[in-house]
Amino acid sequence: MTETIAITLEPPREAHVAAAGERASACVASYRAYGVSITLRTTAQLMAALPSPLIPGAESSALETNPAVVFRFYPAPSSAGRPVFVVGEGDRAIFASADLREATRVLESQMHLRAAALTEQYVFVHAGVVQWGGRALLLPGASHTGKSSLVAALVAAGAQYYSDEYAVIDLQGRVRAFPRQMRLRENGADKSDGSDAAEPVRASALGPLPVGWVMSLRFRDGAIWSPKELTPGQTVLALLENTIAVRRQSELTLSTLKLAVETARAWQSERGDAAHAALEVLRIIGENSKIHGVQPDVSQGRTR
Amino acid sequence: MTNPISRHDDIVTENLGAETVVYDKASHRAHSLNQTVALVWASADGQHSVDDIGEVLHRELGIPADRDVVLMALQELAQANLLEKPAETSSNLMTRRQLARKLAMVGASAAVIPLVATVLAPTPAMASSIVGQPQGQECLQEIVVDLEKYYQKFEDSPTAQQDLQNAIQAYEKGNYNAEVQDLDGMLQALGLPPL
Repeated sequence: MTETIAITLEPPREAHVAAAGERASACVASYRAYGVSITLRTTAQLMAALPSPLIPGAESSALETNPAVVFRFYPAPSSAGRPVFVVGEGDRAIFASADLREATRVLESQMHLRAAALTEQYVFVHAGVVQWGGRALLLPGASHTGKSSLVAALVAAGAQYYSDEYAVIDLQGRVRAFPRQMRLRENGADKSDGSDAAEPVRASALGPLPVGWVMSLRFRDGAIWSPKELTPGQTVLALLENTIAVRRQSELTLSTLKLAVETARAWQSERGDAAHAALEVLRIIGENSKIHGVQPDVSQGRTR
Repeated sequence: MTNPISRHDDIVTENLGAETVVYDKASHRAHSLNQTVALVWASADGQHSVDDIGEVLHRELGIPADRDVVLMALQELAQANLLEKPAETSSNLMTRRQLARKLAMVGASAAVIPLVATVLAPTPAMASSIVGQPQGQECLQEIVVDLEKYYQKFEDSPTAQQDLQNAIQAYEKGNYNAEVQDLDGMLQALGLPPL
């Protein structure tokens, strides 16, 4: 049986999309992300299911003949007969799941990770970021260490959301926004319902910030809040421990992190409940803000 | 006794005030040297003895020239693999507590006790967010084989594509019964058994 179908698609807003020949469902999107060219080959149907922007801060670009990395995202029946959504990089399948949302998030994370690993114009640090008093507050930590819940608690307390995944530090040491949709987990499981806590804002709408504070916090159930101030060297280590491309670009990473911490003060502590930790973080900031000569409005999270 | 020599091959450094951060490209470890260790590391050029370096610490930090401080700093550097050649000495090393007590007695700050903090740089795999991957490698390979067989078929089948699109929309609306029906439709279009 032959059917004629009309697929109505909302084109991705930040990518050039081209129909590949007569196969109306085949879709190629090309991104320029932090100086890295990334191509995504998928179906138009799956493209429509992806979040927008797929890579915060990325720009659409003409199709690259030789992109740095090519991702593939396609549906496929498994040998067991159950359909799965497959994420591929180059010619290699790297993830598969029958859960479309899970596969979508892995694709998104892997695209972000590739941009982070390959860029030579920025240093990507795994960290939550909020703006408070005109400065960036960085919360370095690996995935699944509670960054998002703490960022959400800080946003609830009046801070401005910049990222719950990466601190994108430019070569002047300032932090750029990477505002993907915030992801909250409960007992290790994603508890976002698709309407996520913080609506994404275009990265270009959020200006670069000097680093004001770095909070190296480790979650432990029942932990007692006991902050210890870090030296600049220890602060660099806390960031470097979470820097994606440090092995490949150690010189660039060190010089950039040095600039970033010049204006910052930093503490480390174990933490328990995110809401309680957020209040403690803001209390420390309030007590130590005058050192920068800036008077942040701690009740609003905005510079006066 | 031979003079110590600090290691500089495969090393990247940045000075942050009095501290020095060292990145070791060979081990992919980063070290933060406090001021005392940083001075010892900078002075360990093979030309200066332990006593000479003790004088440097006296001059720069205002503490008494003390071999024990230098030896502890050299031990910290050796543990971080930041020495090309260690100092050969017959002196017994003090414990950190003994040295802290000794320095406190001359009014020195605890901050001058030699200290090196170390972290391991992450690999991209360590930084990856993929968790709870439900498929093993063997299963993924099976999927790849399936793809070679079925993906072209999927691309050529408007029915399968439409059913998948319907399934995605049903999924997004939380209508899982419709999702399953549409996925079954897709499988049928591909000549595969239903769910």
